[in-house]
Amino acid sequence: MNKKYLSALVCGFGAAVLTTIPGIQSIGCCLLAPVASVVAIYLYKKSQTGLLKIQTGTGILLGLLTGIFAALFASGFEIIFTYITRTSDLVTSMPQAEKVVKEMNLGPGAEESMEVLKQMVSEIQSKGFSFLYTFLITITNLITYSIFGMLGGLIGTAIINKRSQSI
Amino acid sequence: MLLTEVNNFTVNIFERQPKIILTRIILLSILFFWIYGFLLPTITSIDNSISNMLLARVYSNVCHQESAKCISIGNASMMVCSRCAGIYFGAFTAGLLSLLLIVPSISRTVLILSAIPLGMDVLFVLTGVYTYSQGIASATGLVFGGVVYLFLLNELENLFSKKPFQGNE
Repeated sequence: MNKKYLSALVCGFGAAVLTTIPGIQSIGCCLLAPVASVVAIYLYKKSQTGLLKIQTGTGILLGLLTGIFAALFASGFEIIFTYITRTSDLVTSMPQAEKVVKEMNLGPGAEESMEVLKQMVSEIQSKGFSFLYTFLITITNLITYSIFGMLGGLIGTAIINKRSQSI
Repeated sequence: MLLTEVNNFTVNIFERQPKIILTRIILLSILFFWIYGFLLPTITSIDNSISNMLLARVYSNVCHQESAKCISIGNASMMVCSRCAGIYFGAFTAGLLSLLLIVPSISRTVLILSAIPLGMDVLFVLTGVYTYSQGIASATGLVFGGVVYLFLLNELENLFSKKPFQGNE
């Protein structure tokens, strides 16, 4: 396997594992995916003996790949946990959401979308799997982790190249 | 007089470096939409539960969203915590200033220095030296966000306007 993909795969997996640990996100906040990308670039540079500098484009690509792998693994973990426990964030937050919609009297649009959410919740509680829920979490994970992965890739490339220059 | 000088400077930058200005505007626009997204519950009532759930889900990937740590306006609170909001507002402020002023080159040391207050705040809250304060979290985030944005901008502008690294890749 190409070492570029390997370092991104390892770090993406690591970031996804960390997202599942309770409390880590309250410390890491928005830094998990960018830090994973920086580590991926560092590992890639270590694996390429004789490589003096990493091109910015390569750094961004590595960050993007790390973000994509992190998103896919994080979604996979969430699907597995949802299947085993028959519950998810959506299920636990549903009563609160229902209360808010009723209190605010947001109209027929809100009622219709609430029905779709209720269907997702009932599918999760009965079968442990909802295709729509899986699709939505995968898409949202892909969007956020990719963006933050690329940002991490850009910053990481600059930091690692500057470090190489100073050594 | 001052306004004329600023206008002349802006016109000069536009004439000389349109790519740089375009990069800054695009980056700032993306950031604006990102900030607008997490401010949405405080600005307007979302009448679609799926949109609300999706938005909350997008921001939950990048923030713990603990309600006690989120800035509230009226009955609604932002979809990110005070620290994250500070980071994004700091970046946005730096982005706005970058449209009018020359962006200073940010070194790795400055980047690390800007992260120290934020890191110390996290550490002190975790160890119980003091309790979580939305003001301190926002302020430390504001500094870090601004510096990171300028650092990113430098790197992007190097990527688009200058020759690429002469590395041995």
